[in-house]
Amino acid sequence: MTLFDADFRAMVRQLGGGRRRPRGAEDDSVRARRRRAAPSGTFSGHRGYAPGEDLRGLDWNAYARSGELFVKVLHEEDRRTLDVLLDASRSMGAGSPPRWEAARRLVAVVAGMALTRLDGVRIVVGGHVEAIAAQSPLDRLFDFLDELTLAPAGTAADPVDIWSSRGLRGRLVWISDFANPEEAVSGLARLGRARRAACGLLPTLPEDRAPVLDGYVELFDPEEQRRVRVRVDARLRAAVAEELAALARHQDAAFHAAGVPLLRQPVPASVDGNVLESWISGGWSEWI
Amino acid sequence: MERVDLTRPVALALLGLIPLLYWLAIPPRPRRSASTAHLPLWEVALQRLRRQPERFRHLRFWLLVLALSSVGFAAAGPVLRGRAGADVVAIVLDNSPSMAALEADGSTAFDRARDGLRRVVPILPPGLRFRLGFAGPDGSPTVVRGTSDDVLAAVEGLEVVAAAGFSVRDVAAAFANGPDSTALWTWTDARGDGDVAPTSGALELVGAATLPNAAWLRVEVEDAWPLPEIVFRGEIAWSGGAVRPDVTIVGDALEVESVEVDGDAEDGTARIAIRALRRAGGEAVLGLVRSEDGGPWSDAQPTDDRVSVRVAPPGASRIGLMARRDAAPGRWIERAGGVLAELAGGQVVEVEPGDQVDLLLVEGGALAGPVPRSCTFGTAFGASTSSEIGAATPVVDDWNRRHPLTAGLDLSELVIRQRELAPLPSGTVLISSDAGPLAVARDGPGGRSLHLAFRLGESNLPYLAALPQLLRRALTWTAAVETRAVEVFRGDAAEARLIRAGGAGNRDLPVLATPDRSLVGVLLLMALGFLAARTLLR
Repeated sequence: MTLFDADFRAMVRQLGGGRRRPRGAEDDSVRARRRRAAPSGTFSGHRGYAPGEDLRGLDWNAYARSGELFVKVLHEEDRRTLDVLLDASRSMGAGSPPRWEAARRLVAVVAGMALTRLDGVRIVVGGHVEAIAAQSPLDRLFDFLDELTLAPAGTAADPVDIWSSRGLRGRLVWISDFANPEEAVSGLARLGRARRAACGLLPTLPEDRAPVLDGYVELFDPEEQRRVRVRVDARLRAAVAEELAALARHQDAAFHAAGVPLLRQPVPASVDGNVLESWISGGWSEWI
Repeated sequence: MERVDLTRPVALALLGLIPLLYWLAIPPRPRRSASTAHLPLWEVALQRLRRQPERFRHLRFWLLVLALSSVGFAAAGPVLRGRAGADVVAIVLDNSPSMAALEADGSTAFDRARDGLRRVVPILPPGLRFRLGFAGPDGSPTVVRGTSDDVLAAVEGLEVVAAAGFSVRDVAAAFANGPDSTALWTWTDARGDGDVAPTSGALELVGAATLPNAAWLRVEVEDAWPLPEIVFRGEIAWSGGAVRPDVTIVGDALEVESVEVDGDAEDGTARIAIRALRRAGGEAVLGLVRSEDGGPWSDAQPTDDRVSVRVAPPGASRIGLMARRDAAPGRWIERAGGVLAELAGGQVVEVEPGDQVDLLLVEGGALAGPVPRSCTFGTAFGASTSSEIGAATPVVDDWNRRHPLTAGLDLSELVIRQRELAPLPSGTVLISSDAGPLAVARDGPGGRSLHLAFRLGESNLPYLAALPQLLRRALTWTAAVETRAVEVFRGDAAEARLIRAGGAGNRDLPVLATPDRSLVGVLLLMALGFLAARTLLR
């Protein structure tokens, strides 16, 4: 069963082609056409070639010397490419509905909006970089996201590391549950040293604010594959709510220190036009 | 390896409750399962509320299982079987005189044995029954039964006995004939003639193997009281490197006339004969002295170097004489008194009625009644008077040949010229005549006395050899001494010889039994400990 039904796909397409095009999108589309006609820019280094990328960007001289495929990175090109860091760790599978579904829908919306503006999109997920050229069919994006699965427990690669190792330079959106704020702090610090910043998108579940459980419950941590049986009562719910609030403050502080926003997007059970409207109005659209 | 037995094994059925405990310890299955990315936060919240996640607590469960198992085994009555072996320890403690011999360091073998028992008995396995055999005050074997405390208390109050005759070997043999579960343990110096040590059971030899010693083995006293002669015949022995000592008598009671020593240096014994005369009487000590200079003898066992003898005071120091002045011819009575005084080492004194003397000689006259320890010749008693002169010469018919006074005397030539008419006191007739008794011996509650019916001068008795013997016998017989007193002091040759036989050596105690021990208390304590630990675990 696909995550992106026809209605959702239509809504995403409508976001890019309708009057809701963000401000400045016209200028960007002009820049994208110029880039495609005369691909040039300020050379800023090499990065590894990812399957699916335009072969014209390959540096054949570097290939002749090293035997490996490298792509010349031009400043102009990076600035007009959106890089989406998607957390595919097992903890993203928690929640009902799972946070993982909302995260992929968010990626679809964010990347779909970028593509409809004629910008390229690279999705860094699970140690893999999926590059989708500007003006590619959105179905390719949906199909890619539809087939994404969570990484096996304990094997999730840090998307910031992957992004850094590939020498990518696009604008950054980081979608994760940020369950471990220390990892967010570390990732943002590394981005800061590279003079980059990422807008944080956190798909929020109802239980991120306070537990909605009661009675004798078995809790399962998909990240660590641990199970804990607890008797949930009002006192415990209040105590957990305090811990969740502290976690939220910690997450906000981490992004605030990096000078970037952390945007929390509620994840309803079903996505309709109103939901998308609320998502887009959340502020992240200006970031891309 | 000690063995554990269960006295009530059926109680182990309690262990069948363990599956029930396991079922009760398993937490119920939750009705709902929820995945969360914030499990660590839940755990922090639980910790803040001092709560624990619901889970099967292995340690608490196993502690409960251990507690139940401990109770189950305790209910089964586990008993740790003791070691098989002797459960009665029969201790023979030699407290014979040789155990008091002084060692080189001034201690005695008995001190060492007592110290050893004080040290060893308390650490023997508990539950043993004890017997303690030793010599009683009179040297007879004595046995104390009881616990180790009883034995130690008896040992504390025990001393070396002076009496001889106690045989460690005999007591040990008596114990050895007891039940098989008896462990015989003899503490002795094993010094003496031959093999003194028991041949069976454990043996603990105390004291040096050989010590120098000389001792009196035997003393016989021949006392001629009331006469002054006294003779000591004895035997001495020396061993362990000692040389033959000389003997002497210490004190003023006696005057030594001669000392004869007939000794054998090879076997270490000598026979002694000491002849002495009674002087003041009292205590006389027969001692050993060094032969080279006559100095006091000193060896490992000083108690057997001296023999103390009680000597009676002189028995005839005063011969009283009461006679009429006309007792002539020859005043034989005075001569008789002189003879007795010379025999007894005393003196003749003129006395009046009521004076105290050792022997009273009376001739003629009259007395109110018979006087103890007296010898009268022609004296009237009571109302009769000496003027009652009898008929002519009586003819001696016979004399008593069985009485100590006249037995063996020859009176066949006795002739009486005139006999007093006054009757003699009642008594045993010694000499009879056709005119009635001429001499009687009176032996009554008040004492003994000899009465003759004629004066010495009216007979030919002074010329007969029987008179001195009759007077000497009268002196001793009236003093109630029928025969010569002979006292014997006998030592123990085995105790005097402080030499251990060559073959004797220490022998260890056999395996002693240890009592069964119940493990119920330990197991219940363990159960409580497990439950307490489980309470502390959350």
